[in-house]
Amino acid sequence: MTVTTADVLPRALLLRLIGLLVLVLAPHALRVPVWESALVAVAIGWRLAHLQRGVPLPGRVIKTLLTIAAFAGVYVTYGRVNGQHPGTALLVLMAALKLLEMRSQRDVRVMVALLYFLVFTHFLFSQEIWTVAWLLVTVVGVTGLLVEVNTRAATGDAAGRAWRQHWRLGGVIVAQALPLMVVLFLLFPRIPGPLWGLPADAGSSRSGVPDSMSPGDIAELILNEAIAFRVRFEGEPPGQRQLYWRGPVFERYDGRRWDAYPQNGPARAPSLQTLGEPVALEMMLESTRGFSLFGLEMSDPAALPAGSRLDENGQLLALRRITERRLLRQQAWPRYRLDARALPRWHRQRTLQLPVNSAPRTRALVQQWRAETPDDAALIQRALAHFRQHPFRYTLRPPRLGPQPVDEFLFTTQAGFCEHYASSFVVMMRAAGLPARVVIGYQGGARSPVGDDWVIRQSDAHAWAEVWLAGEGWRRVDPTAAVSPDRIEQGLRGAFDTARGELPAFLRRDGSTLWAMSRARWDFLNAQWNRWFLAYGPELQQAFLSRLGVRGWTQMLLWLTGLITALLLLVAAWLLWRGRPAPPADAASRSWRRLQRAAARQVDARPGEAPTAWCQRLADRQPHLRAQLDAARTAYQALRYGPESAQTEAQQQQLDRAVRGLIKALRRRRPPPAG
Amino acid sequence: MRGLFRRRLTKPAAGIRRGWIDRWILRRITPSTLPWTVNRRRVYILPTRFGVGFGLLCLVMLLGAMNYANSMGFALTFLLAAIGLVSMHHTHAQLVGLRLVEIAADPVHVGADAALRLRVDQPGKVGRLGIQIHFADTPRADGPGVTVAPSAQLRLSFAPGQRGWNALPLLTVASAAPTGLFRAWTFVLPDTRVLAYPRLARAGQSPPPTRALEQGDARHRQPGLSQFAGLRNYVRGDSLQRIHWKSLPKTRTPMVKQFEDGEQPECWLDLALTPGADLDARLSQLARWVVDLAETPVAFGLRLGGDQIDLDRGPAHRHRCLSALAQFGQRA
Repeated sequence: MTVTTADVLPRALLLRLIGLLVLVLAPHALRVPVWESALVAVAIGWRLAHLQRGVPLPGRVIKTLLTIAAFAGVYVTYGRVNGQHPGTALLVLMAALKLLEMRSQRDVRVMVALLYFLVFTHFLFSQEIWTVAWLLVTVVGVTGLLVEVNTRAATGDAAGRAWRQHWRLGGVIVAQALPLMVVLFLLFPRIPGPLWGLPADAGSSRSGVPDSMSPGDIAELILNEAIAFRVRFEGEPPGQRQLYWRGPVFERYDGRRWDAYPQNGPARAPSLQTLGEPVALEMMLESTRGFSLFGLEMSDPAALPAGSRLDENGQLLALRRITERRLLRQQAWPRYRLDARALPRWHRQRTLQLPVNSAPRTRALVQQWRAETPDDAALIQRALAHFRQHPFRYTLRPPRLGPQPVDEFLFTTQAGFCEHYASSFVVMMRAAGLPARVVIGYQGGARSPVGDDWVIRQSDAHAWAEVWLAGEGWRRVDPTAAVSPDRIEQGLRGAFDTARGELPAFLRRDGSTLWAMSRARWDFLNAQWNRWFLAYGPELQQAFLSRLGVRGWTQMLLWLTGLITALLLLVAAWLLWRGRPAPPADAASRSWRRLQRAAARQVDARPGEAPTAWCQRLADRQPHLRAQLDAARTAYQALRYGPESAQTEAQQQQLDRAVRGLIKALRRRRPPPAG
Repeated sequence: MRGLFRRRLTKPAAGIRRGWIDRWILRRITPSTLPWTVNRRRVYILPTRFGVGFGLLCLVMLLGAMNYANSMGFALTFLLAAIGLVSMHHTHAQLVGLRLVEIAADPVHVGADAALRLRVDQPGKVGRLGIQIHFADTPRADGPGVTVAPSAQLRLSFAPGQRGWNALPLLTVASAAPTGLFRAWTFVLPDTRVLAYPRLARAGQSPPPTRALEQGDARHRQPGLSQFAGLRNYVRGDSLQRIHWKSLPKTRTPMVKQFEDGEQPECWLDLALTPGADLDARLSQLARWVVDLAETPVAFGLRLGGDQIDLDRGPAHRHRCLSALAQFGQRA
């Protein structure tokens, strides 16, 4: 006889398994390529059709073809089959294909392991708060399935109902495992750093400040509500106008695109002079998969965060790619001088360079200004005044620019946002013979209504200019402020003409409404989540445990083993208590059992022994109790075996009285003196 | 006696998967009287192959979580590890307190399989899941086992090795429920014995001649009471003298004359007069005759050395005869 699928795996179990698979794959579906989601849907649909309509499952040839197609598809999409993204994509496909060949209990076990691992892989991409709920639901479900498949045949006909019991047992096991999980999470020794090095695509793909700037690059960022980092100032925060979070410095220009020169030769320290008072702050930076740490201008080279350096242009850089959230302690000097003494010749050439044919009209205009205004500082003011005096406006949807973007922007469209202003301003300065460059990063931020945090979002991305002046060094000039001072003073929201309706939806809400408040609370919760849970690593563990008085690895391991053992003992005790013999339903038997337990040291009750025989044996050892024993036994036998008329409340009371007296007498060490 | 026990105990263990552990355990086992309760201290537990795989999965996840410094990854890994630890205790608890109440078996002949009916129960409110019982020296059956809530019956087939009373070999009581990550097991050596009748000799040898009414034993002859009761079809073992020859040409199948009670044909089986190579062969032959005669109306008696079982019929008589054959020469 051939074993058919139905014999081994009931339909209901498979349906539940498919439901779980959908639940586990759902967050993945948003990430994997469309063709893959479609293939997974086909596999699930096929299996469902097999279950409901008896459509035959694919044969070996089709399965092999599907597997080859899966590998090929992943290779074509990602260029390889290993690594985090392609690996997960493959795993998702394999789970779906496994569904097509599930026949036995063993296959379900393999599937259970796959499901657990798929839950794990999702966390490589997202660790939001909601994933905790998802984790619990999926783990309870998968564990319930595991229990079901390991105890299923036992239930026979009652299987229709029994699955709920099995899933509840899965839930009980997970609930009992939770305290253990907390202990392991807090106390399991964490070791710093990657073990084998992170693959290039580690972490989730996030938007962030780009490595180069072409027209339109930053507009996408500004429409992105995602949080770039959070900041907590120690002491008084500087004013909003001082909050320039410095990112890449772009000196190379090809007429359209700005980027940084590749570094050649050894890294040089910046020539930096600090003035005034420093500002200390703590920053929780989201993963960017880049190196820039966005130090507040200007980072103190003497107090750099761990694992970072300050390059010659004053950009704070991580030594390793940032693939996870990082907590950084920074110190910044709002007043500083960079390269104040002199600009080397090569650097001067770089920051004056303009492509030969670019922006002819702009050059002509600026050269005219230069002739009229020989003073550098005055020239800067004149250029800024140009933005103010002409009808420039700030918009995130500027008209498209052609081959001469600067000329078109300055003379034709006159509409744009920070990158247009910064870019054209630097071109103007270079045309006037002043070394200038573009800096991008973030500007401003919003103080959270809940907690002391400042939240800096991708929408705070900004581009500004730096002009080198003899004796002063690099001076920050923000031409956007000339056009839209509110952008700098009130943040992005202030920059828009709300009547035009071009404000991004998330900025449209008023800060005082309930919605904004709850959003702020949610942000705050997220901040705490990131700060305490997601950042819980070697340092935080040590700090946390030493506050509890647990110091060093030995103590940590001792506490870990001690607590785990204690919790497991609790589980074992609960199981023992639950498996104990159920008390008899009737009062008489309960009283009798109490008596037998109290006398257990004297005479052990033998299985199936009649009360009379047991009383005889006890009375032989304790002759002075014989009368009381007889009274108890008579009452018990009347209640249990006598006619119904004898089973009265009075009889029960008599039994209870006799049993109480006997128990008291049995507890006494010595029999009372005779008489 | 002790030597016999030791042989019985250690021999099955040789074929068991976890050889050395079991040998260590087996040294501590003595036969138990039913009902027998699983003792907490006698329950052993090890991860299954799936459990080992699950552990490896946790390890891979741990390494991954460490490498990516992934807090949710750590949380999931630790949750799974904790599920493993907790389910170990759950598996252990499936067995503790379980009772093997009785083992019943109908006697069979040597060479046939006896169907053992094992009744288990448990005192608690919640049921025990996935209970499996098998002989320690045979591989366990596939499948999750039975639920005991509050009691259940399991079946095992047992092939007795010799005629007479057979002690049961060592039994394994096991469970991998609820998660299949661990398997808990314990051993029990029930003192239940199974009676095995002698092996049945092949059919063919005719039984000793039946003395029918006409030439019957004087003791049983009661004139006037013998009444011809009719004819019935011939059954193997019927005496030739009782065949109704007159009707044979008409009916083609032989018919046999039947007589009213009290005048039944009778047959004496005697070990001393039974042909055979050795004692067991002769006992087998006798067992065959007993089985065959029990299907006929012939009353038969059995003479075994000095013992005699008087003429009688019916299932109880058949059992008495076969038991006597089974135990012949075994009890001093």
